[in-house]
Amino acid sequence: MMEYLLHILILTCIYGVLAMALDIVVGHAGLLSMTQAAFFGIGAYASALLTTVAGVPWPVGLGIGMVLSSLMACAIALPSLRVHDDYFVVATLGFQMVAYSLLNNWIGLTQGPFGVAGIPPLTVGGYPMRSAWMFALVALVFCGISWFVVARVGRSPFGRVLRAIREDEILVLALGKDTLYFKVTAFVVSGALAAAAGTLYAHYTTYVDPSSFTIMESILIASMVIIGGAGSPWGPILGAVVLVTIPEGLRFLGLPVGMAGHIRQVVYGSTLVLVMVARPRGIIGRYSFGR
Amino acid sequence: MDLETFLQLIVNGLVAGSTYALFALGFTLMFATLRFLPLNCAAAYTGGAYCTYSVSVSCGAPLWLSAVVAVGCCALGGAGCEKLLHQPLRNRRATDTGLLLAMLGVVIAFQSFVSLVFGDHTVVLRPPAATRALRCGNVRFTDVQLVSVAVCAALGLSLWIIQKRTRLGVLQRALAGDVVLARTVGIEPGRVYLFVCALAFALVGAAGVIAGLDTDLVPTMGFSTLLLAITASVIGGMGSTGGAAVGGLFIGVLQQMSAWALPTEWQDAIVFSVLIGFLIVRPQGLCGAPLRKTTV
Repeated sequence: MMEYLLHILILTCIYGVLAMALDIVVGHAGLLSMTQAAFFGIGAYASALLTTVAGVPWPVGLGIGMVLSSLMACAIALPSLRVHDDYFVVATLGFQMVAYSLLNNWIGLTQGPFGVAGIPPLTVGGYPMRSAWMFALVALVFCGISWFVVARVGRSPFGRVLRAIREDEILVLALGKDTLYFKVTAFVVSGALAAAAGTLYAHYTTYVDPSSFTIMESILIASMVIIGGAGSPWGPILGAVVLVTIPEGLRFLGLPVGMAGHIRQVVYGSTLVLVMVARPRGIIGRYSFGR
Repeated sequence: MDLETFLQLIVNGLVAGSTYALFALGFTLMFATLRFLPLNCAAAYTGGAYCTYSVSVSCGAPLWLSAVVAVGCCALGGAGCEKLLHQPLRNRRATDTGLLLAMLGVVIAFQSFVSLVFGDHTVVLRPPAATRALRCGNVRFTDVQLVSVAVCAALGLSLWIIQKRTRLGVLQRALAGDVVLARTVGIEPGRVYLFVCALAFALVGAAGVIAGLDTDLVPTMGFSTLLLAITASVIGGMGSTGGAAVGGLFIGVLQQMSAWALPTEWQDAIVFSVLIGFLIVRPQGLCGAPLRKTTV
């Protein structure tokens, strides 16, 4: 039982980091991105492949994953030169689909749907983190550091410009700010953080396959940000707690096995609709997606 | 590639593309009028197909009758979405992001609901006796495919006539052109929105029925085709009826051509790379109006 609770805690930490990272883009800059699962996947696969195939220590995987994610974040900025709003969401959706397709079909590199198994556990100072307790501690520390980074970004002059872009991009342009630079940087920070979460995930599960990085996963992470509350330091974490623990809680209702997953999805979808209709700012959000 | 293979690929592409085109027509009609991405269309696609299945299998009704009933149900569903979902969201001045997430919620909940009722496995809609192979020269197709292309073309044409010739169609184009101007001359948007949602859902539902007849039914069919229909609308130009039709056919042919040149699993990567390419190079699509640009 304790192991199970720790498992939920670790998952919450990983999703919390993903949601916080996305909040830089969604909450502060006001750009909805559907690519978070792709960044997550790039980080996870970079770590998985480098530590198993190349046999390098995990920090190398972490670093390379973050660099690759940052490069992809820059690529996503290309369409944002030309398109806005709904079109931009469609563009991020396209990137997510292409990235997933690469993970799933580039069998020579990623081993496709079979996934990568046998990823070694994290080692800190030469000591492997095998037990759930140790790993939960690592995940909590990582989540704390990420929280600090995101909160710091939010408070900085940089974060202020992002929020100004969200309110009125033309006004920010008129003040002589290079909005493209700010948007790209926000994406890079967000993508790199998501890749770091991917590293943690790969070393925790010791096995990755493409099904963890689908468009549905991207939607789930965006829902965490928005249900929890975008633009506030604790909102995305709260969203991750809610959307990880409530489905797990539904397990204990004793639903028939074949139906439980679908009932969870129905609850999740309806929650999303209800929150948007009844409380568009999320639970503790600062920024409302409606009145 | 010899001429025969080429023609066969084109025919296969047009068959698949005609349902994408019909989906994209409904999608882009709603997008142009309501001004958000109506992702809940995916529910109409799945709903239409499964509704036909349940009416024809459980009640034993003939296929054409069940299809008509299903399309009618989709139209009702569209009107229901407008009344119960779009209108409250509009009243709250929901932002693009808010609307998008709410629509995704509808898609997720509906898809899982269908899985709960009908199961995750594929369901076969077409009666085996109905399919007959036809050939024209060396190009092969089935009678189901022929009928479905004809129905798609007829529905697309009737949408065009509705938009050009009927009063509600004119009101729809007025609202799509400029909401504020339309309101100043006394057009009441509420009724037109209701009509547009019902019409768009009916079109998408019909696309679902037709696709369900040719291929098989799975609960995820709506969402995966939605992504293709969005791509088709972007390629054609969001909000342009003719563009959506061209875009849908283009995607169908592109899929077939890429399946011929590369292993089939790369279809998605190619289609969505084309989508990204269009958004970078020509975001207004083939026939759309130029987009607003953020410049000073």
